[in-house]
Amino acid sequence: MTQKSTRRDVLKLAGAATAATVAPTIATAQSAGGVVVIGAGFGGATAARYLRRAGVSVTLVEQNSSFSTCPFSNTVLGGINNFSSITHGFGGLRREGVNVVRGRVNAVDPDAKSITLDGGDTIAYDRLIMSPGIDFKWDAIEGYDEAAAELMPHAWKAGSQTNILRRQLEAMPDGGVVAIAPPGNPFRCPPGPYERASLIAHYLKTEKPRSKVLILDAKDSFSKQGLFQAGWAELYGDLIEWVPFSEGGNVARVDPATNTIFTDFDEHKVDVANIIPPQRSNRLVDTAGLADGGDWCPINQTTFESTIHANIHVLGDASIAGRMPKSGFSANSQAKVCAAAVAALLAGNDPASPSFINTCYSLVAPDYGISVAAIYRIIEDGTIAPVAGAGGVSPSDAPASTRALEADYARGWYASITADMFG
Amino acid sequence: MAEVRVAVPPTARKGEVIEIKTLVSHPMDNGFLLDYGGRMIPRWIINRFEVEYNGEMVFSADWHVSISTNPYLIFYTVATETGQLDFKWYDDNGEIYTHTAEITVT
Amino acid sequence: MLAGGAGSLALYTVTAHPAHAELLIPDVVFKAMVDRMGDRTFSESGDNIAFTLPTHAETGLSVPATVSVPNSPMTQADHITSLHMFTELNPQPYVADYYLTPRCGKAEITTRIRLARSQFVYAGAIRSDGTAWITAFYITVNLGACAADIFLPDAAEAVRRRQLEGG
Ligand SMILES: Cc1cc2nc3c(=O)[nH]c(=O)nc-3n(C[C@H](O)[C@H](O)[C@H](O)COP(=O)(O)OP(=O)(O)OC[C@H]3O[C@@H](n4cnc5c(N)ncnc54)[C@H](O)[C@@H]3O)c2cc1C
Repeated sequence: MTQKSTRRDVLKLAGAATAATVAPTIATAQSAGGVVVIGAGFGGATAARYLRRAGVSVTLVEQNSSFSTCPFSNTVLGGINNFSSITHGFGGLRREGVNVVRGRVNAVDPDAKSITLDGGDTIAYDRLIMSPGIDFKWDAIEGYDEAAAELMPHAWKAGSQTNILRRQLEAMPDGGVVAIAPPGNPFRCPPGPYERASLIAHYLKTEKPRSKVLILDAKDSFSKQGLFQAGWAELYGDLIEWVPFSEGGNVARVDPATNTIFTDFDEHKVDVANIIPPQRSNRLVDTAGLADGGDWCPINQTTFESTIHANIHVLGDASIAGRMPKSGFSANSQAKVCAAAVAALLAGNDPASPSFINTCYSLVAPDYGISVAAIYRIIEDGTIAPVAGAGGVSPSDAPASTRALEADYARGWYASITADMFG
Repeated sequence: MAEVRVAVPPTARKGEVIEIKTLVSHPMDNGFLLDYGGRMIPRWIINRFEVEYNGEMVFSADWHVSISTNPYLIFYTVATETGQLDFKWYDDNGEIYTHTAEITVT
Repeated sequence: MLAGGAGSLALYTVTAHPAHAELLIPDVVFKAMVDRMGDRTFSESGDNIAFTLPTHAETGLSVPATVSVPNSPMTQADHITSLHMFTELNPQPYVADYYLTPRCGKAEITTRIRLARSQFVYAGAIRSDGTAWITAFYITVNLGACAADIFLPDAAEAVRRRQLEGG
């Protein structure tokens, strides 16, 4: 989230609002207003379902006919699960009365209070909830554009990209080098690249033991670093090599034709190149200026209503939700808060003061799980921040049985969150 | 002994503004941290950086304790003529680290 | 124009740019500016300085920062002679001073800095005619570079490792 400093940032900060405290119940809207939700992913599907439960009529617009989750997509790359196991249909949402519309939204008009789909159809809303996820900054790494991503997949949206990367891993000869290039902060799923390195290493260790995973990092530290590195040492020896920014890991340029990665000071010719470029909110938000010229959308931290346009709520990865990480669990938790707030606002009530929860499970191997958990509240400066003392990370010296249990919890988490989203 | 890495394009057109990246491995101890024994780790940072292009100083810097471990820097210079760029880093202990890069200007 | 005498006020006001409000500078930062940039009139930079850093950092150990004066022609007659960075709440306000010449061709530097906690970071630039511009940027930091935070043990580990490496 880099942006140029202006005096306005300073003033905005001083003017940040504090939240009112009200009983946290979900109100039932009296006159069911027309709420339109964009995106049937972690934020959008959850918001649609919880609004429906509150008696609000909901139209959910999604460009794809099903949703494939990024969570657990690393298990597909590791050959542990198949792609269909992470793909979910919208039948459950429809059965509960959510009007699921297949279509790609290409513009949001805050003045007309409507959205336009590819093909020209428009849908009017009383309130709009957007959870459209991320887009990539194609210009950030020289040579890495959409065409390059077909050869050097990011696999940071689950779908054909996941399958390209999986096929490349399968085709790679034993003794090959798989490079993973994670971006600087902030980005979708901070522990994701390191879970990916782990599960690819798991696959290589079993099938192609002379191969290597080389992480060329734009950062000097990463989420759950101590736990990951201990797990790598224990399970994979020196199969995984991590090159931090300060040791020259930053990727400046790629040449997809020769599968070559140029860091600031070195060049690496690799067999498989998984480039995860820097990210920003989905460009759809720009049609209404919702990111205010920056990368992510500023929002009221209690209702997720945009600070730029009234009646538009933005949540999930696309939003600036204080210090919550960009995760599926965060988006799910935010969606429940946002749904309750929207239902309350439609019913003419005050939204409740929210709290949020996020747990990020990561698999270091199929039977080796680690986690970090936190509870979040609104603090004095009006932003979402972790509650000190609540949550925590897995212990660093746990026995194998604890790691195995956490891997089971991770699978349980996946089953319950996808059930929470799609019914 | 610090390891230095420098990226200078080997060739450039005359008048072109070229990007130069430098990375030095150095702890940059800020003098405010304690070791495990509770003893103060003395300040030990690179405090000065200089770049000469064919003997003329084109860029320099004073660094203080808020520069990160393994200092990283990107700056620019105009490719004026074929020759060499000399980089020098000076630290608190009187160590001087040097690097020379050749550039061909066409 | 500078308001308030040295040491008498905690906050100094810098000439307002037409498009921006006044910039208030804490005593400790102002003194550091005078020390590194000279005793001169400081003006709020407006759009002259582009100061780019993340709005939030998970750890303050290594935060990317770019200071640039994009419109400087960098000619003998009109160039930037120095770029500076300061912090308000680190143990010392000084971060770095860069001395440029017309031969730089571009008035821009990118580096990585340490931040002890959430705070304003300041950037300054001096032009060859003696004009001095100042700007500020507020950044939130989860874990500082000078304190261990038990809430984020991973980052605390990183701090401890660094302490060991240094000792
Ligand atoms: C490899 C990987 C592993 C991860 N693992 C985890 C994990 O273990 N736990 C966790 O909590 N999080 C994890 N995440 C993060 C998680 O996937 C994201 O944070 C989450 O998907 C964000 O939800 P969202 O609602 O903001 O966006 P998404 O879930 O991406 O949903 C956006 C939806 O909007 C739709 N859409 C976008 N634009 C349009 C348009 N113009 N018109 C119509 N529809 C549109 C998209 O098709 C998509 O269905 C992982 C991410 C990755 C990449």
